[in-house]
Amino acid sequence: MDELDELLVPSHAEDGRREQVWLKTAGVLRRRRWFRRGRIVVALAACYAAGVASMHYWPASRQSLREVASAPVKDPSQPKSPVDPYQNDTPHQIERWAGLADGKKRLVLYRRAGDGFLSRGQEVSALRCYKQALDLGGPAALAVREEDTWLMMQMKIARQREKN
Amino acid sequence: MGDRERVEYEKGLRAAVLAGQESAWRTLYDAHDGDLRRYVSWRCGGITDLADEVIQDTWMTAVRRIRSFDPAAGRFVGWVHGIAALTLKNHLRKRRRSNIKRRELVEVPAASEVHGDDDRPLRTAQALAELPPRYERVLRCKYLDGQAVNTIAKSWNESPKAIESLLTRAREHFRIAYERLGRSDG
Repeated sequence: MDELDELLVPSHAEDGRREQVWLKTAGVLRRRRWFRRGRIVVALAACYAAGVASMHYWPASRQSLREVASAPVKDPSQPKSPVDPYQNDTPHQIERWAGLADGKKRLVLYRRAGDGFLSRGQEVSALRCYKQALDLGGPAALAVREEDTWLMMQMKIARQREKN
Repeated sequence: MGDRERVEYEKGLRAAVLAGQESAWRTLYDAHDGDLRRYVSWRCGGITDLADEVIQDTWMTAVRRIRSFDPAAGRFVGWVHGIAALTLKNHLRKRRRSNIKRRELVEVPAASEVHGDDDRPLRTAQALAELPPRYERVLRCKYLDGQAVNTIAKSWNESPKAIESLLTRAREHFRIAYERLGRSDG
């Protein structure tokens, strides 16, 4: 080995400050989350203030409320637009509904519960629901889709590797 | 993992990190920190304190600028290595400037009295930083990743002779830069 090789051969890389660096970067994420929530609160407060201002400056809007109240009632025999029955349910509730359902609906609900848990930062619960959905879906469900969350993709890829 | 899957996977992780999900960021960090440390340590000539600063600044830049990472343009590991290379250049520039200022303030003995092997790691880091990207890349494959010429040739879609020639030119370029830095410090 000549002198040039000695210079270019790497030495052992230290990882003593790994956790310290991680904590600093996690702090950036936490501040980002709080900033997003603050922006949402400010936007909601601005909407509220705009609503109060419009009620104050346009008294004619009270007149239109009487018109709405006297509008004819819809014919109950007419078909209603489809309503999502789970839109107000928490992921825990959706997971319970999934346990009671069967067939494709069970799979869809487990997946939806998993998405809900993941968006709340509850990865362990999300993992549990995604596992149920993948167990029910069989080999066809392992294809990675664009709308999959990163955790669902990771699980699908891991299962594909196990199969191979 | 196929390339399409990799792009979708990294897109999902990026979206999650932008939403503030620590678990997604941890996934990226754990997967790539070891590799980044090896790379930065090599680029720093084994200087531990310099490597620590560069690694920390690299990860802080990556988490702040994650929005600019485009999975379709390349892998996350390549993007982070690019940030590390630029960060290291900045650090080396600062060290050079502070060394010049120190020499202006303090009487410095002749180079032959001072320079033994002490400055070899720093000169190695500076010489590597001066290499064109293609030369740096081939030296990295050979020395850091320990790849044989035939393996590099296959992954780069070139002939082994072309890679050998590139390695020779890269080593020569490095040697010239290394020796010049030794003379200019003295």
